[in-house]
Amino acid sequence: MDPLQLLSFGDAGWGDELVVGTLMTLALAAPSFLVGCALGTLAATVRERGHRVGSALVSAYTTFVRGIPELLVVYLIFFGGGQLTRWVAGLFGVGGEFDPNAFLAGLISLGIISGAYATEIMRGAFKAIDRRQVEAAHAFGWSPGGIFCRVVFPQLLRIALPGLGNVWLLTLKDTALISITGLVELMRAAGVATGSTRMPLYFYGAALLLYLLLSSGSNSLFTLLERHTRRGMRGLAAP
Amino acid sequence: VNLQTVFQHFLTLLAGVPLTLQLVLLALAFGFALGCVTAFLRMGRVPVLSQLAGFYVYVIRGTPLLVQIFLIYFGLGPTPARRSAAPCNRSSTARSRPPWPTA
Repeated sequence: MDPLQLLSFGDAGWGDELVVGTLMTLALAAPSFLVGCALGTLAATVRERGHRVGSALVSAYTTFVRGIPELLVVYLIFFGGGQLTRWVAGLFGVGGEFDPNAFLAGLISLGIISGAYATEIMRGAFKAIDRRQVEAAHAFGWSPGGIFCRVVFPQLLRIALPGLGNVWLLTLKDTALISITGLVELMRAAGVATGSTRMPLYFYGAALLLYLLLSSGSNSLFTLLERHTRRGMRGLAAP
Repeated sequence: VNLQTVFQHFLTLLAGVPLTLQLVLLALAFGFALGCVTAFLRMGRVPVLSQLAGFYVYVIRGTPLLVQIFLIYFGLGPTPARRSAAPCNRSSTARSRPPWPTA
């Protein structure tokens, strides 16, 4: 068959399937990244407070998640999560089968993974913020919430942005692992196309190019964002 | 849960550890050699080779490992391996098996 026709839209080609898969990859990666950022900020704040039990929990979380393969996290959430749901439902006297939702399982596992990496980055960013600014705001009678939202968090974002860009790329690439749950994202779409055309080199190659497009596109986006957040710091040494 | 069954399964899992370590060490050695060569090419002033090395790093770092594995295993692998393991050739009896080789 004509190579270009294989990528056409409609029934003849696999172009539309690949595009829909790419959109699904983005639709999974973006909320997972946001969950990871929220989790990371929360965990880093807990760690920064210095509470003993909280700190121990946070460091156990990051050590555990960063120490095991990401594929294992996905398996644990997707298969283990279904078992856990059945067990909890059994406690309440609800029986029957629960179909694990592939998207939700992917969102949770990717959120947990990116959260662990984001925690480390946020911790570094917390350390880079001058404590005296917080003390000064406190002396002016600001509330703790106001201090966090208007003094700490904006600076946190600027300092953490390069690291968070890396976490975004990791999350984007880790979405390929969610293909094992049957969610039709880019990797799975390429697998389905390979399955019926028997052209693995062609379709996995196309998937490779699309992933490359996504990652280099987001790379330039993060570079722009970093330049934007540094606009007030011209002439100052890069932190 | 039967403790003896759990222990037996744990032993089965343990049997996979040597292969994991073997893969890690071999991949590390290969990666170190490849990394040295790429770094030297990148630092050198040979026009085409330097760009090629940069492109290699760009592609590998910008795409998921799973896609690379599938591309190398199914795309470039020898035909017999493909015939036995490719997802497109799975018979109905092997449908529940993952599309990669299992022991």
